[in-house]
Amino acid sequence: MAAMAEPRIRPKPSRFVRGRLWIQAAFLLVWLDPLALRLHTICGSVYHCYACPLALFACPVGVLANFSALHVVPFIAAGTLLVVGGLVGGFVCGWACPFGFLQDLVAKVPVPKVRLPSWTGYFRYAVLAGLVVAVPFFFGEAHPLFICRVCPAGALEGAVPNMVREAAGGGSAVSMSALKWAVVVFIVVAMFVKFRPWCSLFCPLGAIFGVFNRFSAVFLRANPKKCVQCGACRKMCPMNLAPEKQLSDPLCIRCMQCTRCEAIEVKTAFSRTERAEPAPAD
Amino acid sequence: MGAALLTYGVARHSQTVLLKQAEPSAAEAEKTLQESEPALIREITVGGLRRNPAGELERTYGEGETPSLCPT
Repeated sequence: MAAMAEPRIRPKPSRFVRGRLWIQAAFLLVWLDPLALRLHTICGSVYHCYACPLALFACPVGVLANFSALHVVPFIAAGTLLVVGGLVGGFVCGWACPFGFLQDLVAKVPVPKVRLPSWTGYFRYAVLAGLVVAVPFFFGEAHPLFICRVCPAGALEGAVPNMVREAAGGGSAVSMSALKWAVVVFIVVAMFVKFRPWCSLFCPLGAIFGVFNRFSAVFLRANPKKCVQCGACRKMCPMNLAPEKQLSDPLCIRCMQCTRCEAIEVKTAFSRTERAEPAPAD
Repeated sequence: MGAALLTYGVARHSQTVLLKQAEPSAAEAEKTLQESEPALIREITVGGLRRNPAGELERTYGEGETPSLCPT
């Protein structure tokens, strides 16, 4: 019987994947609203606080939470997330999100990284159900656990710049709550010792897009004819997944590091390819 | 389905919002405004809306004022 050929592992990721930080930077430039358009009637699809002095669109998580507090159905936010998630799923997290970009940059600091089991990613759904939907709905936006009141992206992109601006202008800067400071300090410190701590443990938007990894029009697939279950892709995955089995995992941010293995391919709904992943080897 | 929700939200969905009055009097009827969903999104980005104890949507700022309640 002929032995199955070993898949080829490229010595480094493709030029496209290596350019991910530049693509994230290009998206950041868009989100920072260089033309000062302030299109805050439009719900965005990335985690970028609309309190930021430089924000093009409204933050979808902020819109969901505030609409929940107002007891209004957020048709636009839900529609936006369904459309974007249905098209690209977790690619938003890995390639377009400015807060993910910040965490990727901090992760470049050469400090040993903690790797947590992938099931910890399900905590994000508790954040989504609790802080984005339930707390606002039952207690309103004034509750200290309302997502915007503890959001580190809102703090770093909105509250801190606004505090600095007010202080520089001679005004009395209103400080964030102690809880929010604690969350910010925790997340910033965690960024050095864990790859994307906010995304992998807490991000409610990543939780939503992660669900679409199973259904999105653009997806990753492990070619069963090429995969020999060697486990090389596991060592490449910064999110501590086993890509050959978990390419549709909600935690996958589609960074495409695993595509160094030629058994893992990017496919679209138009490809004549089944989504099914290979069964684990015995 | 997402496109349908998005289209409905942009084109059809609106809510009645109470306008804040400087000196509300019992004789004067409450002023309201029908705001589209995109307008509601813009309002919440500046902390311009809240739900009053009666369960109605209410602006947090009056005419000629700027909203001061930022959720962050």
